Amino acid sequence: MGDVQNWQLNRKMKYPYEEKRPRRQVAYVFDTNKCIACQTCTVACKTTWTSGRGQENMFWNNVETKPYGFYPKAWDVKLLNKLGSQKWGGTTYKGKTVFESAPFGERAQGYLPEQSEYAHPNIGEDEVSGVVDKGAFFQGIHNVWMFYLARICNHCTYPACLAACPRKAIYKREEDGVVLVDQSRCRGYKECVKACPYKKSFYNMVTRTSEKCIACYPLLEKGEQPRCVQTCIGKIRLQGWLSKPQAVNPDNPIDYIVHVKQVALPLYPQFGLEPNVYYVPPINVPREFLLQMFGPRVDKAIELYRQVKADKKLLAAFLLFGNTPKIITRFEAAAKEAIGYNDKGDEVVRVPYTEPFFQRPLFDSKHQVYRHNTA
Amino acid sequence: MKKILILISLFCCLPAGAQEIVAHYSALSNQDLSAPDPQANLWDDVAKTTVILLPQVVTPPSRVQTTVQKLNVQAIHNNVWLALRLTWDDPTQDFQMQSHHASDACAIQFPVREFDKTSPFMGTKDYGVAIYYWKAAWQKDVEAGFQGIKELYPHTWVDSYEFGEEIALNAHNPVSLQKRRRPVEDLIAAGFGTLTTQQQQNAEGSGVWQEGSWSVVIARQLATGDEQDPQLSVGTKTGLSFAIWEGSQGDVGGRKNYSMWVPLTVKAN
Repeated sequence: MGDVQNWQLNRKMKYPYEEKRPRRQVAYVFDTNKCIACQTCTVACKTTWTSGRGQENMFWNNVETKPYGFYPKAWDVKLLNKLGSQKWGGTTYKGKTVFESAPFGERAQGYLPEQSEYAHPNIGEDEVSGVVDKGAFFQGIHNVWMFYLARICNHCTYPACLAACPRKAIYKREEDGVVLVDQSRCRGYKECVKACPYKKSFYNMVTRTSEKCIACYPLLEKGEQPRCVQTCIGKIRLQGWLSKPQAVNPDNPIDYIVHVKQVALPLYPQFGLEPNVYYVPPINVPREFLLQMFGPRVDKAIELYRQVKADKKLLAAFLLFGNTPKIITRFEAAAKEAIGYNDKGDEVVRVPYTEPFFQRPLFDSKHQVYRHNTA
Repeated sequence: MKKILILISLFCCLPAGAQEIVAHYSALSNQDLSAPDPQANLWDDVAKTTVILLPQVVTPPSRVQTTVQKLNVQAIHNNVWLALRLTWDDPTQDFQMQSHHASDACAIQFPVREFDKTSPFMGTKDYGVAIYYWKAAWQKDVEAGFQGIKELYPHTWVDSYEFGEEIALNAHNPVSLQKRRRPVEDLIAAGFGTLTTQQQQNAEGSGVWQEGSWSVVIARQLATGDEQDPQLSVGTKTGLSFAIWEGSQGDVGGRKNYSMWVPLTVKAN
């Protein structure tokens, strides 16, 4: 049993293995404020990786509507109930993680979902938090809320799936921190399915092994961002390499957003896995809900995000999202553009802070037509 | 680790007590033990040894309480094959492979070398074990064909599997076998987490569930010629240990009921 440092909890915690961080860590930033739940990421992932037999209800990427959307059904509320009190003292977590609250004979607190809980991957879609009062739609701010939460494997620093596998069939790659299930070694015990609090390890009843997101490592290995990131039409995602907490590089856009500005936050940090998908919290959702979901840094993150236009470097980092398939390892906030570079130092993207504006005459004399959008 | 070593030394030093399994030569030596039948009449006259099972609490994931308390073991040989019949009470027949199900199963463990130096907890690096593992789901595969999606969910509709791949199948993972000829797997182990399918599969087996109990026969040749199996002969004295998984209770992997070593003698008559 190791005593490992979890920077998201601001304390040491128990984990079955010693602390061993990869040379670089695959990490993502998802801006929930920009997601429209078009599910293009879901379909891109599905068609690329999980369209085989036994994967019918398996979504390594899904987008669920919070508060009532879940895949699998009730995944987070079930575990939150089991975990007990989850208090924070400032930015230090005072409650227990899934490892610290593991019952006797278990490596992590968890549960195994029923097959039927995977049967409705988009349950709760577009459901709002409550009933809309009569006439409320015409009165400015609504009294109900919802938001879309895009989810993939978090390629955690302290994966519960890896901790729970008694065969050590799950490993975390030293070169990029990607967490993989060895498909030749897995015997389908489903311990990882049970232990992963995010329920992003799945059992395939045809191969009789467990399978999970592989962070599109064939793309990572050639310097490109994963399929779910590349295909996101809302440009809500950025994938890159997160540095170790003690070696933060403010010119790395992921480091800048996550470590320097802390405007993107881990999902349920109290579980204790140090997940590596970081979310910009939705700005119009009640604070209590967000505190539970993203931890105590949520207020500051929202405050900063609301002022992003005034923070040129942060704005530049956000403008890199969805504008290149390449992995950006360094960026620059130039006078009029955000510029991204790959690990070889080549420029891979250049995005203006303000899109150029073109005004054309109503009548197109060349084609003898009016330019308007009504029939 | 220290706790485990203490446990190992404690149990290895235990006297054999009343429990012992003797494999006599079967008078029905013309019986083909390579195609074992758990309900064959020949078992009626074979002495039963009752083996007490313990919940696996040595290493996580574990069982806090037993889900099967005991089993009966019978053994015979015909100078070529050694067959063991395991019977235990199990009110539910569990063989389905959906994600929240677990299969009933049983296993017999042999020490590869001296049994009094071999840990019953999956062996150790220097003193490994050979395991013959039977699984109800595989029995179903053998008898009724592979339980695919259509068998588990007859009304499933899927547009296309054209671009899909079964990665574990491509990786030749033995648990992913789609055309299984036998419901038994030969394995080796040298400590927790090291369970590995043997290169050669020699064991045979068959199981029947009837009126709330399983009867499973696992048979192997005394001399298999396989270096991963312990080689046996008439006169061999070794030990066996057993494990039972109760699928309806979620038993899988280390979540099992197990026994300590029980001495086995292969007698000439």
